[in-house]
Amino acid sequence: MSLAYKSLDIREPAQGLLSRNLKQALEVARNRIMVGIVFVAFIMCVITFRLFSIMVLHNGMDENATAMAGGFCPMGRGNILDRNGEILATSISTSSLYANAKKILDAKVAAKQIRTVLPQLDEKKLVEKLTSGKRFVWLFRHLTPQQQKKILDLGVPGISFMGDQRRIYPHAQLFSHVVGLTDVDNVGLGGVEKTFDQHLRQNGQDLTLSLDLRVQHIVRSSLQEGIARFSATGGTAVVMDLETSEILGMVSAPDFNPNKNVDVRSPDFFNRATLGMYEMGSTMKIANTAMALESGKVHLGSVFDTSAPMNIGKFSITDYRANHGVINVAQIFVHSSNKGSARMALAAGLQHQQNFLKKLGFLEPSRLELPEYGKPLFPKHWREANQMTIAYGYGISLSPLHLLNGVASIVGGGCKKRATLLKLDASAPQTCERVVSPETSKTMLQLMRFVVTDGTSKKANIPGYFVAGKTGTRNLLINGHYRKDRVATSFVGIIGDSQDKPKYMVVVLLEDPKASKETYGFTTAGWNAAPIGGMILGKVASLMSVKPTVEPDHITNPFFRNVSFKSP
Amino acid sequence: MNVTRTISLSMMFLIVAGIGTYTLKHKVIHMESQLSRLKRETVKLKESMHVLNAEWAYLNRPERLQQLAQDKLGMSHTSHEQFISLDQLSEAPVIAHPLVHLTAGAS
Repeated sequence: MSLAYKSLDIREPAQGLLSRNLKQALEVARNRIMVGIVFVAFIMCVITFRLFSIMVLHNGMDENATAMAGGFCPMGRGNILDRNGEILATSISTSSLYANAKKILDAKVAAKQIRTVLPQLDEKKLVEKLTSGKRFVWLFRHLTPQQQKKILDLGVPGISFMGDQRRIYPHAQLFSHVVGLTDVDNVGLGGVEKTFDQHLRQNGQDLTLSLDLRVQHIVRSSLQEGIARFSATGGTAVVMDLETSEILGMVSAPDFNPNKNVDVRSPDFFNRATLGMYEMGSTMKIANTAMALESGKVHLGSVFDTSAPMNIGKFSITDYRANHGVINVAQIFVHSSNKGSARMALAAGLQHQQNFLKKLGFLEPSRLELPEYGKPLFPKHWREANQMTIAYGYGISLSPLHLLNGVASIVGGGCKKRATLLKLDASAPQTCERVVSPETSKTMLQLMRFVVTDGTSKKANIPGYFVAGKTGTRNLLINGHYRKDRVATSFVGIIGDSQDKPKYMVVVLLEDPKASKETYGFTTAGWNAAPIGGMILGKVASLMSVKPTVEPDHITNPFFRNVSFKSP
Repeated sequence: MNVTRTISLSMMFLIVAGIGTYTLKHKVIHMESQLSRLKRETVKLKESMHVLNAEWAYLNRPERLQQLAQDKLGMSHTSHEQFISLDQLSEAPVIAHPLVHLTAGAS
């Protein structure tokens, strides 16, 4: 019986062995499963994490996708617009042709092929470029799409296109000097293109000018007509809004087409409105009279003797028309008497004259948003002789812009006005730097009205409108002598709803206008600059809805009721 | 039993997550290519607009319009006599035309 148990005993270790093996096997199996689970769990984590990162972090895009979206090219140089948004300068995309000389197989053949599409290219120069060995050399800038296609069809190896921008001026010569122009690489060379070069290039920001396309057209066509009619050699005209000091039109003739290559040293590039320095002649009497009235020593009724001779050394001052005798300040202005003006200046005093002209800005460059500007010429040693000649506009040289700013300051209410080419923000606060009192301003405007009704500017008058003005004729200095028969003429004109609301001012200057049958042999401003100025004012008035006044002139100052402006 | 259930559930989740991710990714890639195509088209259209604006400005040159107005429409500059005020209107002559009746009183 113990043997039976013994045999049972033998079975136990076998069972234990079996369960040990089984346990081992199970252990191994479990481990393998664990490894599998961990591996799969890891993959799951990776996928979940990727999902999370794409959805939440990169907002639905992964790196590959962003490469496909492509960058957005900005439009390039900003547009230049007039005050109403009309395009004065814009850029369009073109292609420019360049060559990698290292890749050119046969320069002569390539040159011949290229010349079939672009015959204007010089063959020798072209071959030179193609054999230069340079990796990059321009062959032709700004191709048209048709030219580009034809060149592509040629299949010349080693040449390629690069995206380029070309500046276009849809209105060509209409805005020559003010807008300016750019060179082939779109860098501003003159005018507003140069002054605001940075602004236009950064982010393609547009620039809005104060100019009005329609007014500019009126100014240019009238000036061209004047130059043709009176055979002048050149001229300039500027129209300004008196209330805001914005320049609505500015033209200098001769001018140029900015779409074509212009040599900036050519005389056409010269902006007479800002750079041309002229002795102003009688238009200076506006400043002189205002100066005298402001001095406190002279008033409207002050009389001066214009018949007595006045000499400065060898030179004697003469008046254009014969003796007026003893006349008052108003008559001196309307008759444009040089002697009278000189006497008024003497009465006001030299220091006062200097200070006043300084206040008007006549002794410093007149700045505008243009890169070019001229400095006025005035005597270094200002003596009595200068005091007298400056009174009637000789001995000091100013630009038409000086005249514009100066007269606008005087008749526009008395606050200093600075012309601007940029469209103004109407809401900006206006500060006033006083130049003349409001009373003097009104008086000067009234006097200028009399010049149009009774004086030298009758040809500028438009019946039914309030038009005021002043002419100036100065002899040209040719070869060191003042010529009596050759002149430069100017006219300053104002138009408005009434004498209380002057609205627009024009300055016209004609260089060397000639006498003709039409002008009865006269070359003075009243015969040429004044009618042109009047023409401009009339057209601008109907464009800008300036109302014709129905009532006759309403003269507020009682002094004028007893003044006669009849010539002796 | 529990382990098997956990494993099979995890497997299911894994499969679903995998399919989900890749479907999403492909959809996004497709939309991306559409977007870039649209952006390129927009750039082209904007450039065309730019050129058209320049051409429009050129066609609207005042001298051209003035010429056309004068030749084809017989227009000329407004003169100041063409402006009158309302009170002047009542004194204006009556236009006796069957289609137009301008009278001070009722008719």
